[in-house]
Amino acid sequence: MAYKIKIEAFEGPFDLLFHLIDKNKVDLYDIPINQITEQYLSYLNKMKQLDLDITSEFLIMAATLIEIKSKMLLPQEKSNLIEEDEEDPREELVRKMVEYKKYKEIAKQFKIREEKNNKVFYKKKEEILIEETNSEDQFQQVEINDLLKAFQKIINSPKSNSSNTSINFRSMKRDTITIEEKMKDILYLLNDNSQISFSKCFSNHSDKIDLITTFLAVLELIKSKKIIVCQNSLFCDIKILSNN
Amino acid sequence: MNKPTIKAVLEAVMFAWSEPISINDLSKIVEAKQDIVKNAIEEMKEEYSLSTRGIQIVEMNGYYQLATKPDFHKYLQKLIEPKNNKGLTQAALETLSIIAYKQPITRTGIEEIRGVKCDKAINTLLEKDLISEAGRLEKTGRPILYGTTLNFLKTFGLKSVDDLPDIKDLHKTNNDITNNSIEKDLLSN
Repeated sequence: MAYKIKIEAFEGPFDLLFHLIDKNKVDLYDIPINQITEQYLSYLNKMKQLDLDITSEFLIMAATLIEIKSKMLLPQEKSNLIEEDEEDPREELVRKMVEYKKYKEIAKQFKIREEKNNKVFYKKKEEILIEETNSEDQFQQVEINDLLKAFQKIINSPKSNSSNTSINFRSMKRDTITIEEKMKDILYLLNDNSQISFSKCFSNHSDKIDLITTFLAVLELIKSKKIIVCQNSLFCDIKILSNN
Repeated sequence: MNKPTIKAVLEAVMFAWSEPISINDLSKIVEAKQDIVKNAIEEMKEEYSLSTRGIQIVEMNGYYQLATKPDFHKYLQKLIEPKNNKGLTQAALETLSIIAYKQPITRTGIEEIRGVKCDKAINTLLEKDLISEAGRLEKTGRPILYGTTLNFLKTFGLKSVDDLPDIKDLHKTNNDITNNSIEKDLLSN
């Protein structure tokens, strides 16, 4: 015959106490402290046997229960004075339990509400792009960061990577092309076409050095105000125009 | 702007914005007084609920957002791949309910009521944007105070924190707690 072990997970000592009170069908306001303490401790022992972590909160509660139990066992001093409120040692514990129970109940209601509301769908906010209409120049000036990003896109594209990744040894090469030459190339291209796209400037090159040279050439041309770069909207290709 | 136009604009704005939008912003957009906008929205709500419409206007803390009606969930389900959405754990729910009623409250305050540590639950709730920091208690250590967010109201379908189920009503359902001195004690707190 197989063993059936059922251990309920408790959220904390209060949870366990409520379980014991429910199980014994006793009044919360008149807890048979002896019985409950015993069961509480035996539960902790069971947890120990199962090698479960007993957190300090459970131990504090155990200590509290034992303290209450011992207080109740002690004979009460009968003073001559009539005391108005003889405080029940269980009172504070009960008060805390009632408070906790409130929120446990509410948590249940929250759960129902949550499930109900999971059936309602909202739309995610999307990026709304509205073109600027006030500026005469329909091209927006591009920031240096945009250029950098575009360059990174090209450098990281598989086309430029494929030729280099398989080579383990590196050899230094003489610069086959200079920035000055590249600048001339770009300007020459711009003579034929009114505009060229930034990514097209690179399309013939696979060498990293080439890519970097071209990029620097573009930057140099911008600096000397020979070309203008612009980008119509976010993430779209950057265009290069000659600055005439 | 006449009323039908205001309503149409509000609908368009709420659709496009798709995040909760405040009555203040809405009234600026349609260039009308807040009570006119509010009135228009109330009418729209009624129209949505009366006629066979698939959407509703959800209100939370004076913010409005369009959403689908829960009745059509079963149809939308056909389109959506089921995802394992277990919702919040018991610990997180208990912590959240304490924060909802006792806000602003410190972590220690929550732990006192629950009797266990709540770091994990609080982190989950912060991550899910159900609670947020609501300042600090001006006491030694200046502990963080927590409060619920707009997303909390949305997730639980509440108009505002005042809309939370009454704690006092809750007591009446518990037969064993009536007519007790401790009970009265609690309520007076």
